Amino acid sequence: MIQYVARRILWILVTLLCISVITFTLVLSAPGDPARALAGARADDLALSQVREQYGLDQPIYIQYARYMRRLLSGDLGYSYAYNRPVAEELADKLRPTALLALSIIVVAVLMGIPLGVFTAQRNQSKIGQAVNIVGLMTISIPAFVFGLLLIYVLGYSLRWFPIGGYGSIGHLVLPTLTVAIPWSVWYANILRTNLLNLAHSDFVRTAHAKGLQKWAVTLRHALPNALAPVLTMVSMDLAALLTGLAIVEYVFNWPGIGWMAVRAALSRDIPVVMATVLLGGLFIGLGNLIADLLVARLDPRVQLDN
Amino acid sequence: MQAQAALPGIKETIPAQHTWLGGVWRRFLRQRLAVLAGVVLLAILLSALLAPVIAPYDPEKIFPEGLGNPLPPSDKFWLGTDGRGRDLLSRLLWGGRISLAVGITASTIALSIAVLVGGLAGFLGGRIDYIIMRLVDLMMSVPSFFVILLLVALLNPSPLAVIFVIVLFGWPYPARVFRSEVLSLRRRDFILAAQSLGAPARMIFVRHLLPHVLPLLVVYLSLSIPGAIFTETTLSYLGLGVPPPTPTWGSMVLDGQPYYRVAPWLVLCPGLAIMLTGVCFNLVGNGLREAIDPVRKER
Amino acid sequence: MNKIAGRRQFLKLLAGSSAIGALAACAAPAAPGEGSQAPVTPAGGEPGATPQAVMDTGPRVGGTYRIVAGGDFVKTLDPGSAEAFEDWWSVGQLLFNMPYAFDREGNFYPDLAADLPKISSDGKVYTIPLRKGVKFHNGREMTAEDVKFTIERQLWPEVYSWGKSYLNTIVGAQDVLDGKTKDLAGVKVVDPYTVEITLDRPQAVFAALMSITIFGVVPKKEVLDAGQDWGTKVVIGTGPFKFVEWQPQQRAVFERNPNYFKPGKPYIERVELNLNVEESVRLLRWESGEADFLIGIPPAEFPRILADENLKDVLRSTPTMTVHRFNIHMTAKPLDNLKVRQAIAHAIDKNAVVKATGAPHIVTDSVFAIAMPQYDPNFRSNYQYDPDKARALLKEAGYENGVNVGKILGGRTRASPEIEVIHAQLKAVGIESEIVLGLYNSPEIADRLRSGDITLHILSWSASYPDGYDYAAPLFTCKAREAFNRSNYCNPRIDELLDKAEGLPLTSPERIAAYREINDIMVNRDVQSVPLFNQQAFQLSSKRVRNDLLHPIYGLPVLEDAWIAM
Repeated sequence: MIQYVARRILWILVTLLCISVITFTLVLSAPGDPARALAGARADDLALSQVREQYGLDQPIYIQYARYMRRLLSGDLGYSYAYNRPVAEELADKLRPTALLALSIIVVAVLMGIPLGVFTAQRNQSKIGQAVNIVGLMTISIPAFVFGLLLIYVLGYSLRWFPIGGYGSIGHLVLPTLTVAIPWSVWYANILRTNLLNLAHSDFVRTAHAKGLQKWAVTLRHALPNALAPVLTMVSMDLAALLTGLAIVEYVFNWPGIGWMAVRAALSRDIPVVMATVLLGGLFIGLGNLIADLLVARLDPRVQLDN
Repeated sequence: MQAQAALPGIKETIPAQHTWLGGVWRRFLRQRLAVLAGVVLLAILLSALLAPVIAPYDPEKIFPEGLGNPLPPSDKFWLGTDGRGRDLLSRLLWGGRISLAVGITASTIALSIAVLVGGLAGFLGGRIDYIIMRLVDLMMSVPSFFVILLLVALLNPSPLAVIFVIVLFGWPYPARVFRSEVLSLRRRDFILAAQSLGAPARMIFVRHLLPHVLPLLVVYLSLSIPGAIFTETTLSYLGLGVPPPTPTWGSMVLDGQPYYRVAPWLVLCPGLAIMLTGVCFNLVGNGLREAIDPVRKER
Repeated sequence: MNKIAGRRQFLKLLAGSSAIGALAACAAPAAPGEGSQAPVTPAGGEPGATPQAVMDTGPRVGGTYRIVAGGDFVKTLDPGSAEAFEDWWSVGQLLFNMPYAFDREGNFYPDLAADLPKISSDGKVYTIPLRKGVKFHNGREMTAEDVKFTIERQLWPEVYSWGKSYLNTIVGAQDVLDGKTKDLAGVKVVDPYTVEITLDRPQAVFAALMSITIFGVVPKKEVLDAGQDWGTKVVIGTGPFKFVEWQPQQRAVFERNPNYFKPGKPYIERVELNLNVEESVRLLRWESGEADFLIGIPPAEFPRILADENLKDVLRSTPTMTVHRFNIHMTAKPLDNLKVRQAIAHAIDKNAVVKATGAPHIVTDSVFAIAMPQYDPNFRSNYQYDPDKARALLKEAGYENGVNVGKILGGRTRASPEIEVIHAQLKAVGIESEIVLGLYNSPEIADRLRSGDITLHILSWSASYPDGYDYAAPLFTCKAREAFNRSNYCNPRIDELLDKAEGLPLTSPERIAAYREINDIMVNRDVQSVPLFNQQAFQLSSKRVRNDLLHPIYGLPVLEDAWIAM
């Protein structure tokens, strides 16, 4: 077990190394001179060359990369080109709001998704089951910038139930959470429903039916715990993805998170910020997967960790 | 006939493929909702295909009377005009053309890669499997969103760039799914039987494994086409989608969003088009899966 | 105490001080209040003077003024690097003061300076008397040392400042720029309250330059002590508001400076600037009362808001010194062909472009803003909207079957209405182009524009003071190709005219004539630029706020005069 985890962590590190190479190459080869990001729009050629020299941007890519990695390994994430602030500080500032939002989304999505999944599985063939299914599919296909605005307009502006945007109180958390959690709950419900339907034909569920248990009881007591396992393992992976994947929601709700910061950084070639967020994102995903796999092994005795 | 098709091992021994297809078709037709969705989908595809013929105006033509202040639906403009005075209906039809083309192309390529790579990894096993799966792991650990931003900036936004990034990050997950599917199939009796009869590996892969992956493939395809359209929308939001003034459903939703109060149809029409397409693909996909792989339902 | 020179006085002053003029004007600083008779804005162009301005309760101290804004490319609050929009205003109107300033009516007046500058007879030496007893936010008194430091620091190689190119007429500037010395020889501290600046050539606009934000006086010792934190965590000025906090892309908070050197001012206790708020959401936040002031009405809502009688009282409006011009790359094929450029100019219907924006901006043929003395109300472009002439010109140029002119910069993440309309208008006469998206100031777009990969773009430039020099120097000259002249435009005649005009009194007929010739060259002879419109700023305030009228330079309110009535 410990050996397995150690090997996985080693693998995560290798992955991060690959990601860092890919991202670094991409940022530096994408059009747009990072020196201009630093020196500003009105900088003339002299100022540009001074900045290039100062930041080593005139060096070949591999030397710049080596320099970056050396500093990274000594714990220095550098200064943001765009904001002239330490990247570590920027990240620390923005990680908390993002983590809060991501957690809240997952919890709400799961809490809404499970009943919905059970319900639609029970009523799979009925009209109402199909209707729920279709409505769910429709919610999934609304972009966050439209759905978020819709929620803001109805729940924030017209009904005045929640603040319209910004960060600070629990109230601020509600609308951005719903914007993502509603479609995600449908997603979870779909997975759960499929699992439940598959299990309906498994031996132990059929046995339970044969024992004369009520359909609902069978689902809740026997099938659900088994069907839930894959959903729960997905949660840790999804949480990892959310930590960097909330950019648009963060923007619509003026939520001071990592996602939008990274998008802006990518668009303005703010190398230190791009690198730090992409690596952080990779780390989250790696850890999320690891936790998911450990969870699977824990929940499903048939799965063995080796391989 | 039904029973035979339901038993995979026996199906393979029946040479007449058309009867199997016929069975699928008949079972599909029995699901009313799926058929309805199929008809709607066909209509959508057809209208997109025929956009140059049926669109009333050039989708990029600006009518000065609608400039700055979108016109409501009228005799002249059935769905009104957008904020630049362009006919919304024409843009919707042309937009569907591009959105669907991007969605279908990207999904098909991504899934073909996924089936091939995932299938081979699962089927061949060993070192090849190891290498492929590590690559898949790596791809799945990349925070794709930011890398996509940088990539599109590098490639310059265009339909091809959008397709490329969707394919690049679209294949690994299904590849993993197909691999595990193939892995579990490999232990099934009919494969073992074929192997013991000395059938060549390639034949087993093509004749026995691929058909069994088909239902899964159909479902993934039906999910990933709307997904690709969605990705294009997101890219458009960041200014990295198909460049204006070429309409796509995604960019139309984006352009319409600021007008949601003064002219709600600008965001509603393309939004509904995306939704309808997504739902229809999904229903048809589900219907096809159940038609191809009726085991579950008939028990 | 507050000496105000009317704009005419200001111009006369500089006229008198130039190499040619006499010294007389210096001796006659204007009496307070006189200035308001010489508004720089066009007649009737001050809709800001609404009933709001009527004082119903009189100024009172207190309250929080909450602003929602869209800005997110704010770099720092260091005066030299604040160059976006909200940061520029924060620096110029809230946190810092400059030696001189222009008020809303365009009057030039000494702000941190005690009086108008004394200018030597050769026009090269400016002696600036400083106001006594002006305190920085930390309580320390501002002295001439700080002013000198403020100016020379901008030129240090390691300091990011867009001001570098504005200061290169000061003696010794090049040595500091090259990093040879930290000390700017041309700026001398005569005594704690007197600074003397020596230029290497007479420059008539230099007094006006001392009103732009790069001259926002910073405290020497504190800046040096703060190091990297200056501008982000440590921001100390003399302005009406003190810095509290700034979270990039999120918000900035300022609070009242009780020791402001203008007694009694400001009245507002706290200013909250919410940044990076999505366009549609911004309006909702303002409508629901979460904000007192909205920066950036969504274009989609313009017609509705401008037509709404109920909003008349809270709509703030001013003509700005921002001209939107359609710029054409001069050396990229096929645009190097004059006939193609003429065809483009003929193909553009400026009225339709303005209509597409939804706001009543003022259509213009001039590269200079209406508020500038160089603006010629009688000037008309030779290339008025005429699609047939455009087609004929294309035919003459050998492009009978149409021509592809490359890429147009279309806007940040969505194509702007202006660009989409121009794109369609060009297409209508057979000029094909392709819209690309991106931020004008992003490194990528800057490089692609310069290289001619993107050949066409709209440039909207906000002048920092009401004179055409602020357009010509950073945008029109050959040297400016390194900065904002991104169309590879170099006409030696323009450089020559500017050099000739530089030392002339601001209102001298020769100077005005030189600038008008520049305008004629750019619009009619070279067709480098198709001026589209002079921007009118529209912002929304709230019923509880008084006297937060817009400043024509910043397009945003002058908050030191405003108060919250309810």
